[in-house]
Amino acid sequence: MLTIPDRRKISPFLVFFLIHSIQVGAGVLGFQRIISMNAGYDGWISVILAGIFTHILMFIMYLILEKSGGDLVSAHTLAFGKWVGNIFNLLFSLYFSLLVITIMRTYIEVLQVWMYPRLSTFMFSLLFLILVYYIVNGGVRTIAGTAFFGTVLPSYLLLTFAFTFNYADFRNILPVFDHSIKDILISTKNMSLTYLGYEAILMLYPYLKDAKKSQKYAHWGLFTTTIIYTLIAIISFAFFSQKQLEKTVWATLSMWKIVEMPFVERFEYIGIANWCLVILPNVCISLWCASRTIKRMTPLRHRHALIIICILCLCTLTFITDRKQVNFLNTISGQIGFYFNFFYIPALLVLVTIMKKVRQKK
Amino acid sequence: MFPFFRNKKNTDNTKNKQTYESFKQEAEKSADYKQAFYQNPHTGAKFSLHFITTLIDGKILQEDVLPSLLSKDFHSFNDLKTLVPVLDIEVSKDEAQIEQKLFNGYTLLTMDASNRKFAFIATKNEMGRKVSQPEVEFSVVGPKEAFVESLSDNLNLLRKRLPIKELLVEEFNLGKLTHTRVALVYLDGLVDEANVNTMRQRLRAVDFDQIMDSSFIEQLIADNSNSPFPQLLDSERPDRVASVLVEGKVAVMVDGSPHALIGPTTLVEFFNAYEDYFLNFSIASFLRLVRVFAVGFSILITPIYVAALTYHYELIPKDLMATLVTSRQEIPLPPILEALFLELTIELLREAGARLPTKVGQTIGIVGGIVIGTASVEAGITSNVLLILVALAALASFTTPVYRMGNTIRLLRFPFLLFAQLWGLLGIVFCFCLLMGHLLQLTSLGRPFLEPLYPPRMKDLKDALIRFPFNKQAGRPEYLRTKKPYRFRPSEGKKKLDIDE
Amino acid sequence: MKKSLILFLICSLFLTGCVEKEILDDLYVETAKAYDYVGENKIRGTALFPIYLSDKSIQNGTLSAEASSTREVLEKLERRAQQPLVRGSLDVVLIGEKLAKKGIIDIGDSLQRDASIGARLYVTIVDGDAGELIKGNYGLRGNGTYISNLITHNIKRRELPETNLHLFLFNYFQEGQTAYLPILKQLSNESIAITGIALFDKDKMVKKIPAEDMFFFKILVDKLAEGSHVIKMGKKPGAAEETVEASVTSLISKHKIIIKHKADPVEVTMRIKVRGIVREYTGKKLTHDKVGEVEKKMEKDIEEKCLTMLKEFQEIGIDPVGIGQNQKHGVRGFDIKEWKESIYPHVKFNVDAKVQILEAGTVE
Repeated sequence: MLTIPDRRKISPFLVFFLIHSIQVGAGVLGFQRIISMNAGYDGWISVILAGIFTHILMFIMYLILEKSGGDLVSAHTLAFGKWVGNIFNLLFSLYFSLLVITIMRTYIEVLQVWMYPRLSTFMFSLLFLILVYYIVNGGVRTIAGTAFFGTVLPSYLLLTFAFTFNYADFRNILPVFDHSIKDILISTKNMSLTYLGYEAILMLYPYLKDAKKSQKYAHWGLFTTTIIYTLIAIISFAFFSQKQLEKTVWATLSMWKIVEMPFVERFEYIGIANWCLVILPNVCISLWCASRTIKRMTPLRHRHALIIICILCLCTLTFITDRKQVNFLNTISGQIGFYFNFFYIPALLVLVTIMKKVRQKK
Repeated sequence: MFPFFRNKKNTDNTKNKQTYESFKQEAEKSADYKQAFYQNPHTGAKFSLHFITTLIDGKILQEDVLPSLLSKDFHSFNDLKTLVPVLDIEVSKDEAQIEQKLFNGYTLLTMDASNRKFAFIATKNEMGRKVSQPEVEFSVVGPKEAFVESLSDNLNLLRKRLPIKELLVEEFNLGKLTHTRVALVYLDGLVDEANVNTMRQRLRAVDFDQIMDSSFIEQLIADNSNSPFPQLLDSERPDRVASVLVEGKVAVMVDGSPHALIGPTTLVEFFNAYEDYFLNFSIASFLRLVRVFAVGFSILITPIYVAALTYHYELIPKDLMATLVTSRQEIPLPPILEALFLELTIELLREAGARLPTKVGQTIGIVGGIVIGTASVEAGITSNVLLILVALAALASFTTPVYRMGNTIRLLRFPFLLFAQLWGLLGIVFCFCLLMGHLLQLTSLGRPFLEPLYPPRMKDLKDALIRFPFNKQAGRPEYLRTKKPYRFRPSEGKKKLDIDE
Repeated sequence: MKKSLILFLICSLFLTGCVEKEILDDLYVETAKAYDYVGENKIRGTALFPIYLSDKSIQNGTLSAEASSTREVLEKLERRAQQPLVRGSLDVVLIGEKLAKKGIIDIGDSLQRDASIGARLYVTIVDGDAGELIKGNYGLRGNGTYISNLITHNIKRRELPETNLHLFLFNYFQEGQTAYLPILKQLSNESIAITGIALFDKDKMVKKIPAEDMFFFKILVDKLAEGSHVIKMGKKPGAAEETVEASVTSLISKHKIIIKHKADPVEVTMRIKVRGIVREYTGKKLTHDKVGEVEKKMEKDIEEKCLTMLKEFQEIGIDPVGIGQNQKHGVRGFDIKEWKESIYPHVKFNVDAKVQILEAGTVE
């Protein structure tokens, strides 16, 4: 059992913001093209399906955490023992570092295509990671605050999609269910990268006051994410014709091109700059999870683990240079996340339940 | 001046062992230490008075002490209290007290016979400012009393507004050389003990040679002294201090300072003027929102100008383009240098205006503002659009009711400008994230600084950026964790009358 | 050690972290672009940018160059420009008619691919030479603003259907729909007029709708249409040569496409509802009966004209109204090839119009 002093814990309803903000990252900027590749304009069904799956997985995760009485590291120790468990812990830490790299590189790519083609990846990553280090240094409460502001402050961006209604034809998505179930399921799998991130609850669990109450808020967070993604998907489908969407890499950003307000002519620059605030909680939480796992496994201090992981991420980021590599990175993250969530987590639940019964018998 | 005396803790104890003789030797070096020897003509008792002439009120000695001691039946120390019509007379044997009492305006009375016993008579010359209008927190309506430099006067102003026994005053003596009296004031039974303990602990830990003002204390006990944000609110209005004591906060008052420190405080409190409570809640809410908007505008407008003109020409509406381009065409400087030049000019004007005596200062302010501004536009060093923006931003930064926060905002503009120059709009958002990260980690007496924005507390939001009417504010602020969370019982079951009932 | 590290960091930040500056007054901000066909594999591009004079007036500056693709044109133009040319504020793109007949998707692609170009810019076809049109001197605030204002108010209140770059590309890529763009013509050095609508088959211009028929086209294509139309009512009593005319301005017009998807041949009914007011009437008195007559005549006009137009579209093989797309909404497994080759040419059209005149002005 982990003992964490009460003044370091966060209240349960902040879990809503944590879960929601770590899911909404760089995936939402261009996911429409990916889901329409297989399922065409029925892709919004895939979005809803994928969202339902996340709810089921979250439920499983809470069961694991309650049974192991702590966080993921305790679950691994319970299920596999110390040495094998540490291997899995290391994998988990690497997985979160991969998420950090993916999100940051995708966002930097967006910046380099849409705003500043000569932006130095290294410089931006360095400054961004310094900012993240400063925030993570403040502990879980500061990170939860970042998640809170990263959800509340950019929420006005949702209203800007109303500008597209003038040019949208919502009957584009008819007829419904024009594609086979297989196509829809493939799209659901491809959608998983955009939903990733809620596994962070596995490491955040001990820091919640009244963990049982927080489950309700976690599900609300997932639900909000699902609703927002579905809405954006439907609006994108109404706004673009299908072949047009297949060519548009970042559909959400292209939709902002049509926004026109009296005091700004082009809104997408404001939107992209604001997106920095949206991905900040993602990177903070993922880095915190990665470094905390290392701290729990080894005698290293949390701060030192954080610095090491930051430097590793920085080096890796600089070596990913062109579009092909970024695509590859995204695909790999999506695949690993998918297998981790859909196969490993239920397996872990089974193992933990068995081992707990075994231990109890002893 | 400062670092020299800081770490001499141990010499205090040796000084206390001074005797009367050694003290007399040292004090005689000073020209205003006087000794007067008298003998009562009726009883023959000899006594001497020792005092610091510049500290005492001579009238008390002349009119109250000497006549009674010289003409009445004075034999020994026991008669003092019956003969002399002065309130504070103390007879003691403790020689260590001599220095402290003498330099606090007391007169030392010794009689030759017993040198070990002496009396202290209070003859302090109370010289100080009369209670006047607040300088910084002026309000159009409402009371216009402000604190003065004397701690006793200030406590008087405070106590008359809270005439209850729960108002406790704890005194400390801080500052090794200044021996400043510092009072910790709170409402016992209402305030959270943790707050009081933290404050008490920190005050006791203060180790400095001079405490001239409450701001010295604020800087020494602040949670994070590196931050430009003040973590304790200061106020010179006794009604405001009384009000926050009722809410459950703790106040620190320093002798010699007209500002009282209040803690724990939050960021939104720095945008609340006390005058808001004198106005209707809708007007007050509107004014608060205007202030918040003004502060945001003041910090962001110049960086946005720099970002838009340097990197994002696409953002500018077509109609504005003509004005902006024509205003910038002759200017040799890029937008960032233009903006920095104007900002520094405004800071220059402000500092110069603050240092000059009033008569000259006003002229310079007007001359500086108008002439320099117009002339620089004519000379082609700056554009008129930017001049207006910078002037408006400077004006907007003055809307904060708390002076300390206004200074912080002045400072905050520059990192935003630098980041805007570096990365345009992205730089501005990045700098905002930095600021947000800093504020999230800031605490005031251990309580989060960004309350009630984060952690979000619905109840406290009723009095943060907008103000609900008094009958809806039944609870005390949650983050203070007071022992009595309700001010009054919200009325239950008020029957709403129908039309014409 | 730590301090020198921070100092080094800050210095390197300002040396390498900077991004490319585009300071406003050191740029030529393009507001309009014109493309013309000048020969085999050669197009001429003309860029228009405002030059701001110190008395706040605006002068139109133009630069021309010939090359084989739009990107090359831009490069050549840059070599002739005093300041860098930037396309972020592009308002209008004018394409000469000859080039339109050859195909314009390259231009569309280059506009779409560039991240700094907005999606609200107007693409128009020019009857004549686009380069000549752009070199005129229209209005007081620059040609780009003039042309875009001209098109904007005609879309909002008059008979030009809604159009911009996004809608053009949307229609181009949509299955079962073809694109359309407005046509401009230069009347003199100081004035331009909208003379019709160009219809495209894929990206080549194939048909022109004249200005007087734009009202009917707009009713067929736009969701909510305004605009006005003059109805000829028959002869004036007494004057043999003149006709009584009523000018009706439609406040709201809606159309509904009802398709019998499964029928063979597919039957399409266009139900059009117009609510309007009478603006001008050259007859004697506009009584209630006369209003009824006006309504009926207008309905007849609409039905005739629209049916003719739809049949013409069917013959040429274009579909700006989007019948194909509407068919797709009701049928599973829609095959675009089958639709284009066998089904669309045999579709039966009906037009059913209903006109309601709400008001007739302040006099009778």
